[in-house]
Amino acid sequence: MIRNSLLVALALLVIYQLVQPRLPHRFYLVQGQRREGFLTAQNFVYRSHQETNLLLGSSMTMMLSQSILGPGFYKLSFGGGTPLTGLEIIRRSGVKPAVVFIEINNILANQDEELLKDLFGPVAFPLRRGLSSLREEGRPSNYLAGALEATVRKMCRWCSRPRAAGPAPTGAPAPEKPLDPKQFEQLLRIQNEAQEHAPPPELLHSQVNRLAEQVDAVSRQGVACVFVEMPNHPAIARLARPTAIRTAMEERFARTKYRWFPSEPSQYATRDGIHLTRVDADRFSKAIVDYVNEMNREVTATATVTKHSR
Amino acid sequence: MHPYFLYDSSLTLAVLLFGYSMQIFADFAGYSLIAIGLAHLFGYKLPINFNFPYLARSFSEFWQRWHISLSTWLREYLYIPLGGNRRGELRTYLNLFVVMFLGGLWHGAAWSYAVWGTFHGTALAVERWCKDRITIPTNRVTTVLQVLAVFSFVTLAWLLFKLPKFEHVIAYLRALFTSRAETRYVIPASILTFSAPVVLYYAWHVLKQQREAQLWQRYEFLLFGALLAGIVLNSGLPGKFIYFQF
Repeated sequence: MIRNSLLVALALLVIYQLVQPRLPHRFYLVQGQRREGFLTAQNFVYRSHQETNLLLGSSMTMMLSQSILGPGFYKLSFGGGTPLTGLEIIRRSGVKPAVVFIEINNILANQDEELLKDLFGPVAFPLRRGLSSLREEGRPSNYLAGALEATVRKMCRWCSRPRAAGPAPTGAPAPEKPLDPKQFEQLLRIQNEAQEHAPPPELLHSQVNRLAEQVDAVSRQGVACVFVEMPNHPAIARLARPTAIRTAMEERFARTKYRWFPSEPSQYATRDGIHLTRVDADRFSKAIVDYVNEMNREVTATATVTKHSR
Repeated sequence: MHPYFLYDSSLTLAVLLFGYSMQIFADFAGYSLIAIGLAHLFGYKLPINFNFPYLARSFSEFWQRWHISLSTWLREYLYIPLGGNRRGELRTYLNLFVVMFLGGLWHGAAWSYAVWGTFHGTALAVERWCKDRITIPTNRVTTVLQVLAVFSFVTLAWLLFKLPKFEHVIAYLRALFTSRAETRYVIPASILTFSAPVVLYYAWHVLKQQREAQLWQRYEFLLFGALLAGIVLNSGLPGKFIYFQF
């Protein structure tokens, strides 16, 4: 019985490794923010990619639109996460981007040791490099859940079909629902409670110093680092915690010496006080693209001036 | 902790509760089986701790199938010394109530565990009262209804284990029956996917009890092989067992 079970398991693993790359991606569901983080990290490390600009941060940065950012950008950001995790992944993977955008809103969290251990485990890392079926993207449960979700959605659409109007969805994202004012107020209150007190100074300075070490290390490799404060609701941005973080960051990384992405919180709307609405996430994404284009123009202009001055 | 579940639909909340029921069984029964299997490797035969408790047709049967080591202990060292069912009807109900109340507190000194114990104690007492007075015909339909009723009650009671604050339990129950939020199918789809092995485990057990038991047993290795492959392919980081906190 045991031998037969093991043989069946081995056979299924081999078959799945051969079949998995051909499975249709339309029935695919990443189950939750945590698993999405693993997928993001593994895709960065295992796939060869041409992105030269990385966005490191938390779920706030994850809101940015990949379609507007384009193929030159990769969001190495994690829900509830910190740019320290992204910087560590860059260091350990040996990837050298041109520009790294560092979200400063959530630097108090420590780097995700669990994710890093899983990603760079001495056995798991080489195994996953060779066998895509063992990666997060290959999990059979993602396909099963995706197929189940699609089936249930179809059934519910069928059940409510007299009310449904218009053609079937084309795959474009559904328009964002307007915010319920009461719900928004409640969510704003939650953020207010979470951010009204300044963090302990020793924690703040230790995290800033840790970030500084990582930033200096990537800068020495020629990577341009740009600090970004993701826009929050003005009432949240004024609170003690974000103010303390901003002040500590500006002291350590003076705007005269380091690049800071220009953003004004009052110009953007959020869904819950900290995450941008879809429309404003698109606007912010466009602003980032424009900023990088401007940076590239400066670099080209400087190179031209240098060439002519010789 | 803010109860974000307040923004989920009734369907999502119901599926979440079902999923937790599956999780707590898989977690607890699973590590009991690991312990039994490891002991077996060294020649020790430990008694089983879970005997398909979600197939119980009554609360007393549930407690003969769930956490058998604890329920046996409660019977031997609390219920019987208190007099069991030998001191009259009212005393029997009181004994059942007290034993389950204390069994709840065994999990931790918190009101939620005491309430959980109280629920089960009350259910056992009421069931005993009904059994003495009402005869329910035994057929497939009544069996299925009884199993579903016990499973639903037990699952609802697990809420007291999952949510640390009592006011969150009340809020959850209220939202479960009144929420009009839109369903995000992602959550039910994920929960049902991960509940499938537990459901399969139970289904396999039921099938093996049918007339064609030998046929199913002959091909059991296929199921085990598939589950093993599933474990390898779906594995993630190790998490803490839920019952380690007790």
